[in-house]
Parts: sequence; structure tokens; C-alpha cells
Amino acid sequence: MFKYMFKINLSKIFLISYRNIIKNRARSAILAIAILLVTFILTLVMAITAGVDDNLTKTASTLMSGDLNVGGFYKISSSSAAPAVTEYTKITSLIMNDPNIKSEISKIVDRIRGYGRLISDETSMDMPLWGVDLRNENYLSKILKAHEGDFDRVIDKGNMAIFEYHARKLKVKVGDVVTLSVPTQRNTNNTKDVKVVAILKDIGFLSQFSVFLNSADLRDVYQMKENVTGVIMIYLKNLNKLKDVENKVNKLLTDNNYKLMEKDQRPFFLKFDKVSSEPWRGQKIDITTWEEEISFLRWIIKIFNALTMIFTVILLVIIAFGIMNAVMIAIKERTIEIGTLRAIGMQKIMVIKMFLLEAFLLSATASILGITLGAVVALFLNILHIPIMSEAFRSFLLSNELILSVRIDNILLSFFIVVIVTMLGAIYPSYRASKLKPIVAINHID
Amino acid sequence: MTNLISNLISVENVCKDYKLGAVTVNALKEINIKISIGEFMTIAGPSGSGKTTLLNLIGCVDVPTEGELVIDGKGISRLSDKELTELRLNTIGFIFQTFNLIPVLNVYDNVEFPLLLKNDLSKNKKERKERVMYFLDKVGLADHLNHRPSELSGGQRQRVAIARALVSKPKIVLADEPTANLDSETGQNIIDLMKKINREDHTTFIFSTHDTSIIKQAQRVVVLKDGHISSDEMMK
Ligand SMILES: Nc1ncnc2c1ncn2[C@@H]1O[C@H](COP(=O)(O)OP(=O)(O)OP(=O)(O)O)[C@@H](O)[C@H]1O
Ligand SMILES: [Mg+2]
Repeated sequence: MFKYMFKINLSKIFLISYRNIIKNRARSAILAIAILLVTFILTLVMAITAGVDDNLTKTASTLMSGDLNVGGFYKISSSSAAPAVTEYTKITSLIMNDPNIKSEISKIVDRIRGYGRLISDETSMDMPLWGVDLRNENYLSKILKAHEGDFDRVIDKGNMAIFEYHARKLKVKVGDVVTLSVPTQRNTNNTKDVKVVAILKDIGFLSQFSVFLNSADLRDVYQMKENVTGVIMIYLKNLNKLKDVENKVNKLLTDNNYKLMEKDQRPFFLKFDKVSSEPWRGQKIDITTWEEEISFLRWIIKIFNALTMIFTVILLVIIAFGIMNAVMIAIKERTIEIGTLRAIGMQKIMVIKMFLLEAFLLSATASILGITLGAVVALFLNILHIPIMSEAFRSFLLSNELILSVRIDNILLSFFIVVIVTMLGAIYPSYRASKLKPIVAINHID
Repeated sequence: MTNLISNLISVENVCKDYKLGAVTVNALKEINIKISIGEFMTIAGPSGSGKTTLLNLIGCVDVPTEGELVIDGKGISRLSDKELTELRLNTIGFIFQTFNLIPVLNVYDNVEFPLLLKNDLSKNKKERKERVMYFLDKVGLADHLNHRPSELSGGQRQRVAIARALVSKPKIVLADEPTANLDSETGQNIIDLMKKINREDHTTFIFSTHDTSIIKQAQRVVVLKDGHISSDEMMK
């Protein structure tokens, strides 16, 4: 059957299809423009969704995760839980001394994870705290833009960067001093005064969950030793190797008698309750990926994907009916021609192929044009840095401007979807055409 | 004996009814004919007598209500649609009253088309070209290869259709009123062409016509009347 389909020379069928498209210029053009518009819109919508995904992932992982994280908890008593890694330099050097792992790593840094209160002259607020060492994380100022002040000054002890959100709540400006107050494992509160040196532009609601302090200051208030940190963040050269590197690090630490926590795909701040209810004491290591640390954000992507999906389905249904209608008309107009072809010996399957080929030529050409146009416009809109006006959108897109991302796999996907849907739309009328009796070539009166 | 071997078409007790709502039209009633290789035969008769119906049955584009047709040794009632299509492709050539060329293809491509449907020839461009040119030469259109049907006169179109019907070297060529849409001089040219091909290649021609001057030129004349054969004569 399949062999039969290709035994026959298709070039003339191709020519017939092509010439018929040209001959029925007006109808072909309307249909082609419709398909073009649909693929164009599809490409843009997919680019927006991909842009949101990319931006969200990048922002969230910059704020709160490396590609791979070696974190964990230290329990001084069975009811406590501190997000800390003791003697972390040993772990870092273990990792960096394993040539198989080291070759995959582009950068390795550490941060202190904390949770405490910021007290200004007017008011106070509780929030997560990040202790960073900007000597290692010098790229941070490229992603976190200062609205006022200079983020790089957090390199010095006693300095802190907060977001506009915090500045508004606390009613502080660059240069103001706020008091940092954290609970320790011994149920006391330690305090320290720090100076606001930068107010960062908000990047959506995630801003609420991050202020950046010098890690030395956080060590001070938590009375942490120099060799204790919150999390070791590992950035990879190639994200596709993530699973592989995770397994290697896991094995390395297990082999070196570190106690690892059971895999729990939630971000670290949702693990406190569970850990503090467990009976063990001392140190346990928790290896997590960026996807796990920002998994609480996936719902945003899911909403976007769902919207894209609904939108796509609607557009495709329109296209399917459009092409179905067009092929129906073509078949009506070409009844005698089809009957003649059947009478002179064309098989039914060939009639189907002839009309499918016509639909394919039209939709493939139109969708390639539509996708190209969509991609160009998406890239252009990206360059324009269009601001997002709605506060709500800014907040959950973690961005102040529209970001579009043109992905090759999305382009191929929309091409194939559009082509397949048009073919599906053309199948039924083509089948009807193949059912035409050869006698229609003869018995007509016109 | 010789009759049996040369028997190309055998129409056996064929009836054809058309149902038009509650009315049944008996277009053909108990038709029996045998046609041999190389005949040049016309089917005559008044309008509505069943000429087209009979040609359609012989051409395997329609099936009888009763009876059997044996074409080139095959009983067509037992053939599937695919086999009937193959029979039409390999054994039968059609010349239509309305020419029925493919409008988007030029003269050469129209004539070549049946060859592309044949497995053995669809890959052999050289052989196809030789055949197409041979028959286009025969019908006198070798210098109109690139014309579209819309750029040809009626007579020229019918000659293209004849070349298309002949190109796959069918044993039978069927033509339902091939000259009805042509002026009498052009019509005569078409008949001359058919006669020449019949003489040279022994292709069997069966055609219907109303034109008495054309009827006179056939070797055999079958006259239909109300779905019956009213006469069946060999001329000369
Ligand atoms: N598709 C059809 N449906 C119903 N009746 C039909 C159909 N085709 C033909 N008939 C009837 O069958 C009879 C024979 O018709 P047919 O077309 O074979 O005659 P014909 O001899 O070819 O006539 P003409 O010289 O006018 O072409 C006529 O009575 C006609 O009305
Ligand atoms: Mg007729």
C-alpha cells in the first residue's frame, strides 16, 4: 500500500496542485493570508509565553537558586532547623577536586539563607534575607538594577540592598540605617545596624522575598562561624547536564559519609516545618535543582501555557474549517476534472493525495511566511523594550517590560501543528473527492 | 474459433435502469453485442436511445443493473474499484464529447498524464517523451506543446484528447459523440484521424454519433432504439 503510493511519479500531480493554487489566486490568497495570520499570531503568543518562562526562570533562579544547590539544615536540637551547611569549604573542595564534576561547572558560590526583621525609624517588616559575597557574585548587579544608590557597595560589610517595595514599606532612602534583628537557635534575638546603599528596581512579587546583605553581617548576627554558609550554589556550563551532575554530586557526598536528606522537590523555605519535626540532630545535606527551588512559580507558566493552548486551539479550528471549506469549493468546481482523471485511470488514493498536496503546498508556504514574520516582529518588539503598564502583570511576570523569546522548538512546533491541522481539514473533502464516480466526467450538462 | 480469440468485448444480456424518484427508466434492455479487435464501430440511434449508457458500461465507468460485460477477458462484475481503474488505465482510452482536458496543464502534460499513472512508465521520462511526441505528431499538434487547452480551438482540443486517449496504447478507444461540438469539416478531420489510427495500429474504436455522414464511414453500425438493438450491420 505504502509502496504503491510512492511508485507513481508525483511531479505532475505537484504541478497540477501548484497551478491550481495559482489559478484560483483570490481564494488561495485569502486562505493563505488566514493561515499566515494564524501562524504569525501563534508565533507571537508562543514567544510571549516563552519569554515569560525564560525571564521568570532567570530572575527567580538569580534571586534564590543556583542551577544546582548544595544546601541543607543544621539542627542544634531536635525541634530546631537552621538552613545552614557547616564546614562548607570542605564540600566545595571535594566537588572542585572531582575532575568529572569540576569540568561541568562554570561557577560555584555560596550564600547565607536567613529570615528576620528589618526595623526602620517608622516601622518594621519580616522577610527572607540573603547574605551574598559580591566578590564572587559580581554579575548580580547586571541583573538587579539599582533604582537609587549602588548595588556593588554591598561588597563592603555593613551595607545592604533592598527593593523599592521594601523602601516604600519601611519608608527609607539610600543612606538610611535600619536595624536587622534575627532569632537565633538559642531563642534570643541578635541585632545589627546596616546601611541601605541601594534601592533596587522591583522585579515583581519575588522582590518581597529578597533583600541582599553582605554575608559577613549575616554571619555576625547568626553568630555563624566563617566555615558555615547557607547554600552552595553551582552554575553549570551546560544545563542539559544538570541531572547528571546532580547524581555525581550526590554520589560524591554519600561516598564521603555526608548524610543526605530525602529528595523533596519543594523550595527550601517550605521544608522548615518538616525538618523541625524530625528527630535527628546535626547536619544533613540537601541537594536541589533550580527547578525545585522555584517550583512554587510554575503556576504562572502553567497559566500562560494554558492560555496559549486555548488560543491555539481556537485558531486552529478556524484554520481547519477554512481549509475544509476551500477544498470543498475546489472539488465542486473541479468535479469534471476529477471524474475525467478517474475515468482515464487515476486511483482513488491518488485523488486524495492530489488534494492533500494542494492543501500542504498552501499551508506550508503560508505558515513559513507567518512564522518568519512572527519571529521578526517578536525580536523587534524585544528590542523596543515595551514597558508593561499593569502593576499586576509586572508583579507576576517578574518583569517591567515585555520580554519575548523566539525558540526554535516552538517554531517547528507551530509549523507542524498548522500543517497537520490543515491536512486534517483537507482529508475529509479529499476523501469525498475520491468518492466521485468517473461517470461525472461524462454525464454533465453545462 | 478465430471469433473467440479476437473477441475483445462481450456484452451479455445487459440491462441498465436509472431510478428517477418513483420512476424507473430502462435505458438498456437485454443488450447482447460482441466486438472484436480492430473494429471501427459506431453506435447510432435517436436521442435517449441509450448510446451514452452503453458506452459508459463498456468503458467501465458505470455498472449494469443486470447482465455481464467481459472486457479483454475480464468479467467486470467481479472487479474491485481499484481493478476497474487499472482496466480503464491500461485497456481503455476515452475521448469525451466535451474534450475534458486538464485546464491547468499544457498540451504535452495533458497527453503525458496517463503515462504517469502507469507504474512501468512513470519513472521513464525518455520513453514517455517518445510516446507523447509520436501521438502528438500523429494528431498534428507537435508544434503546440506549450499551449494550455484554453488557448486551443475545439478541433485542436479534441485532437489533444485523442492523443491522450491513445498514448497508453489501449486496445479500445471509446468516444461519445466526439464531433458533436465541432464544425463538420473539423469533425471530418477527427474521424479521418481515428480511421488512420485504426488502420495503422489496429486500435478498436467505438463511437457514437448523430451525424449520418459519419455513420456511413464506419465498418459496423449498431443502431439503438429505446434501449434495444434495432440493427447491427457490417458495411461494405
Ligand atoms: N443519470 C441518469 N439518470 C436518469 N436517467 C438517465 C441518466 N442517464 C441517462 N438517462 C436516461 O436513460 C436513457 C438513455 O440515455 P442516454 O444518455 O444513454 O441516451 P443517448 O442515446 O446517449 O442520448 P443522446 O443522443 O441525447 O446523447 C434516457 O431516457 C435518459 O433520460
Ligand atoms: Mg448521449
